[in-house]
Amino acid sequence: MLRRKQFWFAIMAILPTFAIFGWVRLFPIIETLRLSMHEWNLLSKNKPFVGFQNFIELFGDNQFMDALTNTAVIAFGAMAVTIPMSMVLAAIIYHRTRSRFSGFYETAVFIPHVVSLVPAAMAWKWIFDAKLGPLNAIIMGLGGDALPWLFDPVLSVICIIFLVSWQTLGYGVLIYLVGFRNLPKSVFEAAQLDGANGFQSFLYMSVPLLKPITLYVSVVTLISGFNVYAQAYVLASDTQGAPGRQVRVLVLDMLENSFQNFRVGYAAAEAVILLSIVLLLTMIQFGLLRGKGGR
Amino acid sequence: MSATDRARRTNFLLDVTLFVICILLLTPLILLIANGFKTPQEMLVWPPTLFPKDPTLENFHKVFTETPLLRWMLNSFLFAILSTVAIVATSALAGYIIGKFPFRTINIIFILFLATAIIPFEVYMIPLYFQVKALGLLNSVGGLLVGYLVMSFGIFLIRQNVIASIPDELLEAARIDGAGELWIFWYVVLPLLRGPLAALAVLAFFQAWTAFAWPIIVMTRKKSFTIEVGLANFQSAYTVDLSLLSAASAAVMVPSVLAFVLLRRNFVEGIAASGMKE
Amino acid sequence: MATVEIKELHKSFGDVEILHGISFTIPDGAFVALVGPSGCGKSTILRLIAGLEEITSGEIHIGDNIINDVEPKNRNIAMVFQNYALYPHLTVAQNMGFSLKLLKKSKAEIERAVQHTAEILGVNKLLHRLPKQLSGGQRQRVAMGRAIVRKPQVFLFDEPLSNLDAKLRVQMRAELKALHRRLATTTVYVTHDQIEAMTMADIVVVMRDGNVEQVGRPLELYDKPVNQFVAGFIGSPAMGFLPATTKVGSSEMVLSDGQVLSKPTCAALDGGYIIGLRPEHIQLGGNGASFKATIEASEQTGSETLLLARLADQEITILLRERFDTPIGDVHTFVIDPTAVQVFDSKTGARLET
Repeated sequence: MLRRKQFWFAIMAILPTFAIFGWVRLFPIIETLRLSMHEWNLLSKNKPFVGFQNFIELFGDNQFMDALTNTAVIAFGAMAVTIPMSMVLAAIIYHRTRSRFSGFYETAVFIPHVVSLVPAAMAWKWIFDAKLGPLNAIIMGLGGDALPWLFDPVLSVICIIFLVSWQTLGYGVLIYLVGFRNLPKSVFEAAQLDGANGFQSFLYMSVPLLKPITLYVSVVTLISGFNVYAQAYVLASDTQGAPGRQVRVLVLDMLENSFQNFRVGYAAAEAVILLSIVLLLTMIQFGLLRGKGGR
Repeated sequence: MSATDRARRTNFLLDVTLFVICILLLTPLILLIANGFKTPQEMLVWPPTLFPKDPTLENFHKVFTETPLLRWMLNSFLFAILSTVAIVATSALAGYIIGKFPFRTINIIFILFLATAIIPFEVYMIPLYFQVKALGLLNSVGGLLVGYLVMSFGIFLIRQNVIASIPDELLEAARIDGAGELWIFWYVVLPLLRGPLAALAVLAFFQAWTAFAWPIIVMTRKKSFTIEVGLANFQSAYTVDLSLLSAASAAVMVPSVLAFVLLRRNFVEGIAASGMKE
Repeated sequence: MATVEIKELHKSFGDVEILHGISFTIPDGAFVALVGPSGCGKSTILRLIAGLEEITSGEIHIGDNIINDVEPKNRNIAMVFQNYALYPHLTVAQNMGFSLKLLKKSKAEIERAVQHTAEILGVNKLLHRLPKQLSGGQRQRVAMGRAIVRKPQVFLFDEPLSNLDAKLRVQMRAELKALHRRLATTTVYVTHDQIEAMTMADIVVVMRDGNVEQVGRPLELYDKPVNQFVAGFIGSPAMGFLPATTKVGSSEMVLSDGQVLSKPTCAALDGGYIIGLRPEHIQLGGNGASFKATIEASEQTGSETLLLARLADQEITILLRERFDTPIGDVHTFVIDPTAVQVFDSKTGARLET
């Protein structure tokens, strides 16, 4: 009797949340999947079924491939910079935990992450500015040539990678700090007695023991890297001032296709590709994690 | 050199290194704030100056009186607060139910929540946009809210906490004493969840405050922009006046940073928890 | 030469002093046990010798060198931790070979050394396993192997057997002792179990609250404890203590219930004292000082009887090497050899020679 009462309470209580969830999550996700196989130009009532044609067309679409490449480079680039830097920074901050500055370090490192995307991008936009920014000023002061940071196709991607890494660093350091705090202290004492200095302890003990965390941070930064939008929007305006066109990223391409080219089905197909990438990365993470624990 | 001296020297070097790195990390933001105080002419000087020679409050004054910045901040704030309330409420209740009422139906619902948790918002925001449009909620805070009413991670976080720190016996005892389920939720469960709910609130607020892709498609009228969107479009409307732009960005940035410094512990707790969900 | 000399060692953590001037010497090749109740500072001394903690004042010498400021890795010592502290992500072979790898020895050399040590400890079939795939006893052996492979001049053991079950503990005790005999390396062994200390060590250091109470051979500590604490700590079941008085010239110790224990050698003493009776010295019959005690509890192990008895309003333990079935509440007469009765100063606890 009591159980039945509880069951109905549970169902009733979770219904509002589930209803909202169904409306704002489940339904749109299914819609995206459905739309990707249709053609719709926003205006007509007609949404003809086209099967996989959208996908086939995407892979021949230069703008899309451009966006895909850029996004992948940014995502992997940011990850490649963030992981080692945050691990080393966390190691040093952890070593100095007892210092009275440790609070300052943790706060300072994390502030870039806390500052919202657009102001941060604005800050860097000025720094990278070819004519007015301090970066070129310093380079020229050292005797080099000024570079068109935000307008060169390769350099602008590097700038975005830099910005994304700068923002993600704090997050990585935080997670790694938690990891360091959970490492068994006696293992490090044993290593110390075996003759390891600080650097060797880090290389042979910390790095391998932190593998699960490295895996997690990698996947998280990769996934958020593939979803990059705001940073590109702000930093990478093309020569006419149109935002984000200098470096096309997936999300930008997708929104353009949907709202400017009036090809919603096509955009949905892009979304599905983005989804597949994210799912793939997540599955790889699970697989790698299980592989270590299973033995 | 004795062992203590050696350790002290290493620590000093490490401290210096960390200090330099931290200052370098913060430099872009410091420069941004400094730029806000420069006159527009000084911004065009080459080579650029680090700190304003003739600091002026003119930019900040202009930003708050002549641009819609204040209105944008209000929009963002309203949106963030409402989103936080919605997310905390739904996560608390749903997390509690999923954690303490393991019926098969509930478990299926949980798996659905979990499965969609990793799907980024950008993937399904276009159909959601059309929903919002159909409801006539474009350019309103309500429309913004539609995308930010629930947070899968929030539900998961509460569920973990409920399982870990609320013993079944406590609920049983309350039931035997004749308490109704809602009463139990309100007076027994919620007080015990104060910590994680605070962390979740901070996380939810931060998520709404810094949202970009969704607000930019839902809000097309300048008056309804959120701060992020407004600032991003600022550059096209006020391109020449870099100092104004910097002032605007600084004005947006400083509250977030202050809030972070004050609420650091809650923030860190929330983010660390998201790292342990695996 | 690997003697270890501790001189006036003080250690404080912040404002709290843990060690109050410890001094003792460990001869080369000796097996020394540091024993004492929890919190007495024995593990701290070990960690100071290892270099894992900083010395507040005093000196530690290994051989002819002061090692106060020498880094742990340069002290040529190896330590076996209480929880083994094996590297969880490395195989047994890699665990044991780690120190040699850091010394940049060739792969062949490392393999040879690891194989050799593994055979001594009987873990050569486990070389490819990870620590989490090993049993407690196996992990213990690998921890020892890791220490041995470095051929250190001093071994440090921090309660290595306390995580093992009773049977395994007894077996490992014998193995450790045999290993020590074989390797002849100076060993410092910390334990809270006095039986381990007594059975394994050449020299035992008894500690209490940051001070050394007594240093000596195991049997010395048993026969001639320097004070009441050591007398009560060494020996199991523990010695029983009773207040007693005597007058100068009298050959009797009078208990608080009026009973009299004859002890001819106490004639020089006068006043109130504490006498100590070891449970195993008390017998049912024979010559000696006799007394009556009431049985409160009795435990039979098959070959021995452990009695809890009340004598002069104190509880004492009696260990009889025979079966003795007796109902609770009965009063019996017991006998003890007067020379086995120990006398302690009632204020200082020091043992008096009688």
